[in-house]
Amino acid sequence: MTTAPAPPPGGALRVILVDDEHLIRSALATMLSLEADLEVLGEASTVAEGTRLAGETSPDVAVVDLQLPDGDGLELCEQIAELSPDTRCLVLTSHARPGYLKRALAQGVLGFLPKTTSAEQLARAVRSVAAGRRAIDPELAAETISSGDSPLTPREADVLEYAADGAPVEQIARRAHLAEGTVRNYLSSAQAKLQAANRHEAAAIARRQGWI
Amino acid sequence: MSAQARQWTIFYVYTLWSVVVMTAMMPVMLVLMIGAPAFDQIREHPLLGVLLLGQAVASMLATRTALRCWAAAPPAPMRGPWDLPRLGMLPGGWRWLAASALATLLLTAATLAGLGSGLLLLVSGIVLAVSALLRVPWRWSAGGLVAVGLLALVGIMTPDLAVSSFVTFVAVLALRSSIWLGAVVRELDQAREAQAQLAVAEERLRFARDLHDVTGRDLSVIAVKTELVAQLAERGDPRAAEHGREAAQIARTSLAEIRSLVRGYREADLATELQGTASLLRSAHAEVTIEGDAEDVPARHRGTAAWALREGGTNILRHADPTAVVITLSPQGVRLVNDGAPGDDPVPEGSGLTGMRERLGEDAELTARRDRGRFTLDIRFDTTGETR
Repeated sequence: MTTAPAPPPGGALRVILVDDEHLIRSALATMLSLEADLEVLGEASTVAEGTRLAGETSPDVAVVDLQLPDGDGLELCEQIAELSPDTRCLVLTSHARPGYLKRALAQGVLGFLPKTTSAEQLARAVRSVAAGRRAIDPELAAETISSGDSPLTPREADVLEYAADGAPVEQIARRAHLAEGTVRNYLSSAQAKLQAANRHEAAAIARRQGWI
Repeated sequence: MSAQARQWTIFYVYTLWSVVVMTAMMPVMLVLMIGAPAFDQIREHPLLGVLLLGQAVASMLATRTALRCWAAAPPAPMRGPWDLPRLGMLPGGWRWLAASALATLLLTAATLAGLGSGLLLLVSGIVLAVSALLRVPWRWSAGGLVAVGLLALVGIMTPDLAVSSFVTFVAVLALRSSIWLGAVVRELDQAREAQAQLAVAEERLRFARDLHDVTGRDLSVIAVKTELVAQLAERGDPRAAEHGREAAQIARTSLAEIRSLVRGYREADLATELQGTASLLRSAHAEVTIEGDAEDVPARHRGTAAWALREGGTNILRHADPTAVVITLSPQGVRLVNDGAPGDDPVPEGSGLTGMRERLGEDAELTARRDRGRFTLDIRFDTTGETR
């Protein structure tokens, strides 16, 4: 593979992986552990497991998927920051929405990369993040800039995206793992913000602007 | 619901309450119209007044229940323009209607027993007739009215009864108009909803087709390539690595194509990019000052300016740790100044700046300076030979 730098004097960088997609997680774990200066301490697939793992191992870097079955990766990063303040988070995502990059930056997450990042780039990003430098995917940053300043909160954007294919509220609630009342609330606040007459129009506006 | 509630929701509430209030007020209005004789009757026989009041409440509840049933049921299919009146026919609420009929019955009994002159019975009869006629097809009401008119003409019917029939007919027509209007608004709303869903479905179809075009081909190549990698790896053939990397590259290109497909929906303008840059940098805890605005940039340079802002903003985020960023837009160019830039030596040309410069080409001139942590990216438009 790459010509990995020799292990730093303090020993290898200790990394954990949190992703619910088993195939991707194990592939990433294998690729990262091939690097001489990186050591994968453990893997988890949910926010709850990830929090426990980070608390037990206090790794240098936590590589976290944005979409997890019991919450989002940024919630996990917040909890990790509390439990193990020295751990730095690197968020991986398969489809990025502008709101998330901004939220990640606002809460001090240093790394934000798409899942398509090559092994070499990911290893380099892990090293940057461990050293306290940012590792942000330029494509994602450019997309975020192009989308302007979205008035939607990430949750509203989520719900609106689930509504974009014309799904009824019950189905949106099921997809977003939310109560129907909550979905209605998010939809109506999103509609109000976008000044749309109904949720289809709101979704169309948001899509045109690149907010979902 | 919020202020953005759908029109039908609002209109339904309006229809419900206008019809319910009209029904409830009818006995009161009739008594007021008759005037003194009716007041005397109520004063003399309070029991009759109470019965009439009870009937008002019962017919109000009957209307409310019926309207709720009407709104809950799917609208009746239309069979031509003359079918509209059927939409104004109320279903249900039969129990409260029976209660209303009971009140009329008791009033009849009281009148027959010599209590009162029958004036209040007339009022009660009108109220009952209106409630009942709202629930039958309009031809019946019209037929009834014609019959009453004929009877009045041949002198069998008293003028009192003829006037009452007319009042009944007018009241039914007024209430029905309200319900018809409601029905029309409801159908329009449903048509709009259906249209929106149709548009969504068409768009989804188009998108699915595009997506399949982009991904189908790449996925087949990846399937073949990875199969080959497995075969080569089993034999210890070193070409496995090369094919493996090629497959990964195809997957990445494919994803990039999908992204640009999604992005193809929109073309960001300079004002949006400006807002986006500021908002992104602010979320990274930098203070952003904007001098000038998108309008200051000549229209023909706005595309370049938008692109420069996007690239510049992205670079600041990736390579610096800024606390303050100043973005200046002017007719001459775009400038981005930020602090927190690492290093103090002259800017190395390899760091993406060459690429930017190449892309700008003849359009604009790019300079970059770094001075004690302060980084300045300056893009000057080529304004020579420009008519102002």
